[in-house]
Amino acid sequence: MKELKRESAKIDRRTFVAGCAATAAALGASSGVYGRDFRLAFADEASAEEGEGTWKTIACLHGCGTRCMNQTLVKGGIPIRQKTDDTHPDSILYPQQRGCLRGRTLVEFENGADRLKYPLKRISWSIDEPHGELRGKEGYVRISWDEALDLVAVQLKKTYQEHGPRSVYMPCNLSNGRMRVAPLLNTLGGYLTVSDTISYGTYTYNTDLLGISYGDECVGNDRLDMMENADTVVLCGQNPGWGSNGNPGYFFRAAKDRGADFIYIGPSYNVSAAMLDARWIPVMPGGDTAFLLGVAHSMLKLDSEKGGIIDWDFLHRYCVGFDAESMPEGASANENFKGYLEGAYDGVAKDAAWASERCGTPREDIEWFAEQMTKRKNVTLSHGYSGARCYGAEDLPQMYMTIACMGGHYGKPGNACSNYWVDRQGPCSLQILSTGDDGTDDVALPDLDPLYDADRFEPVEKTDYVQGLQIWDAIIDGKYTSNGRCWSGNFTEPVEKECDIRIIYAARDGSARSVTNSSKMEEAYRKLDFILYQHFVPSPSAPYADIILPVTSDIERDGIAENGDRDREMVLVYSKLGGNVYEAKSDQWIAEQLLERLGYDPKDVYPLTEEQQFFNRLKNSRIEHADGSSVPLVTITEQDIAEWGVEGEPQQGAIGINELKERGIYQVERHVGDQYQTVSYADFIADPEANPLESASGKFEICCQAKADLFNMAALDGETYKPYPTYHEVRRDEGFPLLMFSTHYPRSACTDFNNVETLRETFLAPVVMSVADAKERGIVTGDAVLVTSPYGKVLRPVSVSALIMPGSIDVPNGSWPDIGEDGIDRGGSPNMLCGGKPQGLGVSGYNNVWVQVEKWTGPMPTPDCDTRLTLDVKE
Amino acid sequence: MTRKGFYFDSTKCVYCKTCQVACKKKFDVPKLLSYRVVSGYEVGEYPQARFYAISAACNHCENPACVRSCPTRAMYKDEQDGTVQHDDDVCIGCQACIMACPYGAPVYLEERGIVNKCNACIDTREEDGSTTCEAACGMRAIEFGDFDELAARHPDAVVEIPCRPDPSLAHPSMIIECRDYVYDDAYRDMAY
Repeated sequence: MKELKRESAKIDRRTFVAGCAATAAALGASSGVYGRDFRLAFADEASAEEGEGTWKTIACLHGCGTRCMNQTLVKGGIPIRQKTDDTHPDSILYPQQRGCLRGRTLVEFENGADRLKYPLKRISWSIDEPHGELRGKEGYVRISWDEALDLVAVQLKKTYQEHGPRSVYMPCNLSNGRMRVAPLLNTLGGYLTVSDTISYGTYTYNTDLLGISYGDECVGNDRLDMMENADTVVLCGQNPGWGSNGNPGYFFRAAKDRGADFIYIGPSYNVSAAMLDARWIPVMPGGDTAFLLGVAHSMLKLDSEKGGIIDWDFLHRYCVGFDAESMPEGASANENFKGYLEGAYDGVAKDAAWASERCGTPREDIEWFAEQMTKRKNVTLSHGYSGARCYGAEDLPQMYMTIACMGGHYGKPGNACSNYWVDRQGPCSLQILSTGDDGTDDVALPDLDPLYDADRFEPVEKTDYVQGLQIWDAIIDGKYTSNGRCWSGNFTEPVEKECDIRIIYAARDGSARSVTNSSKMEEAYRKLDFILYQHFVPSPSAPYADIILPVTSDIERDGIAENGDRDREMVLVYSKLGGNVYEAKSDQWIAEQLLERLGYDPKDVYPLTEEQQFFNRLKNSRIEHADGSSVPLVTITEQDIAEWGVEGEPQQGAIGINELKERGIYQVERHVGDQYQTVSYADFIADPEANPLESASGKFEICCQAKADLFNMAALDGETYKPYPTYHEVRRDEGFPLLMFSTHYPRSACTDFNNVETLRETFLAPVVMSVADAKERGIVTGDAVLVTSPYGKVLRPVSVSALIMPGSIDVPNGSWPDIGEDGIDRGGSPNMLCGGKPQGLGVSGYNNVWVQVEKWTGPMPTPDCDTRLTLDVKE
Repeated sequence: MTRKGFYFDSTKCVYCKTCQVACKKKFDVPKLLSYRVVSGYEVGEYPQARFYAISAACNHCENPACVRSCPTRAMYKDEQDGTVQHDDDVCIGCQACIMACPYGAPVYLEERGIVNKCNACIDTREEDGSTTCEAACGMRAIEFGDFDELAARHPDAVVEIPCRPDPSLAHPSMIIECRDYVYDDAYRDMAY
């Protein structure tokens, strides 16, 4: 991608001087203020006001999933200084919501030198002659909003009319931007998208069939229960210190400081494990299911040898399928989990030695871990999703649940099994503050005719999804295999499908990085008629777009921590920064403009103003109580309604709506033993008949026929699944002996922030490899290495470490691809190495990819802080 | 005479560098320079290897080498505040302090032709209630305050560890909470 303009250090220096000169003039050269990128977009502001300025809570709504407080001192629309939460003194019961390094660069990220300011058109693109072959190779010209919107409207109409709704592709992502675009495209005729397990791996398959919650979310015990009552806490493939910056690491530490012992399971001893002084159980990437099978076998063995390990009463009363005594009704085979462990059906005992061969964990570690799972201890089992983002991990959620059941670690103080703080920062069980919905669903919308001819084209079927792994191949070859939608287990039998994707509507999209098999990405992008990119900054997908529309960034909008960011002790309300937004418009405004041009009434699709939606979210937010009741969060008066210019009724809540907006946060102070110190599954444990789980049997299903039926129906490669959890061998790529995984890295939050210079110089994103593997290849720290798989090549600096298992390497998540003419990615995107052939049910297996590593003898790659993506724009 | 300093709990640090970035942003420190730096180290061999990190800025030393070396008295001890401060207007950019400081705390700002360093947030500490680094740390691993009070509150914290310079050179006002492996002489720099 050498065609892209890459800033040199010298250019940066000039930019710095220019930015500083402008701000110094504006501020009377006061010291201790931001400059440079931080306020480039503000540099042509008239002047800063004298005086105190205002502290505003600004939005940080990015891919880490944690939500923290970032306050910025603003004078005359110019951000002066940033701080985190200081709204009250800090304590473990009433913690400040402290943000991370990325939050500290919010203004640089959202309003820095790479800010998208005006609508842009790729130089040689036109509707009649798209010149797709030049995508990623040429620059852009500034165009007016009218010209841009006219072009997009004409192109959308043409494509829908000529090729039907399945020619329009909207990438999968969970951002606010996409949510706002979906109603537009649904009106015009629908679109094709992907079924992708993304962050959640096999936990997207309906784990609720097993009796646990969907995704195993929010069914841990309250954080104060862990702090007070856990003897042992297990972190399985988790790194909260990096992956969920903010309070999660601090909450775990509170349990440590009150005497809990920590165990960490994973291929590298990460910073969180170090902070918690955790005992490390090394497990190879993708090895978790095999490891836990070995643990289960060892628990049986230990229990029979000396007793006191397995909670047999728990297994027989609260679970089905562990042994012959506890088989569920309607089980299709006379097989149970214990029989499988002992080798009754295949002649292979899944003992520690068997497991060790498959997961790389020393036998003694497996046996030691089994002993720690004893029913005599209060064990809290936490997991991330990294182990589930692996090929062959279909049965991992059930397997982890099974270990918890064997030790009886559910529904009692100090005993829990769930993910903790993967995407959330709250108490982990009961949701205390629930963010309200925006009210859109309450408005009945008319049926509108699509743009395409209904006699000529069928609507997109509800089950028609392209496998995430296959999207680039589907664009290139026009075919894919659909097995429905992985989310909530909405699978179908695999069906071979054909498609003719012509355009991509990419709202805040980073597919060029985030989707697997990205060595095919450029070929796919260049085949299309049209790519629309809509964002406030470029992502690695931006340079392939034909029209780029600038939207207002999150910090330029009022807002509230989104729906889904629930499970919290606090709610954050954001105020827009103010100041210059150039020509940026909101996603909804863009959609409304397009609808008008295409002959629709925007009010039929977006019935509520954005102000009304924001008001509704605040109005509908509630404070929940442990007994199931709740009260409104905000007080609203007639005067407030008039001032806000919205519709609504007055209500009584805990804090005035304007006071909350000004304060930026509402938080519930906790107390040991308070109503929120809940234990998940406690009702079920107290009376399983009266309070059954969601599963068919109402119990934890160690044999789950519904799971087996679903998986066997949807499997794409003939893999078969038993009702109980089993080991699934993954396909090997011969000649590629190392297993790659991708750590969530502090420099970025998924795609976001990776282009921020301050973060690029702070975290260098090297490949990390073991001392043994490096020695074998003559590699030392500071070298560059070429990482290859059958699918792609990545060239990066390397860090050699004793903290990572031999046989595994870590290519950190978040780095953007930078593909040279030699086909080598020097940006370090691990998805360049992931292939596109589905295994099992089609999980995106980012964390067990076969690769080879060799020492690079060519020129060293340019340091990341000197390579940032900017678009070549001729104004 | 007042003496202020830092307490750093290395057992709590997760090497996220939030303190470093918060500090850099506050002082608008140019590219590739920082007043506060978080350094990562590993010790031991696989699978018993361990990791720790040290976050450090100016140590506001009792006997500061920068002050001793400064020909213009731009570097000076603020006796009232108990910290080492820098007078930008007096600095001639000779960088003698950079040569003298064992900790690499002062940095040269090429664009301004002067040196600068951590000022213990003397400009904002009162308004914010603490230094920027202390307020920023998600793990609550940094404390700033009266040095004797910090030492009394954290009796196990130490001044001298292998990865830090000999404290007798300047008597740094920084104490560190450590686990045993931090005393391993065979530490290796992490290049994450």
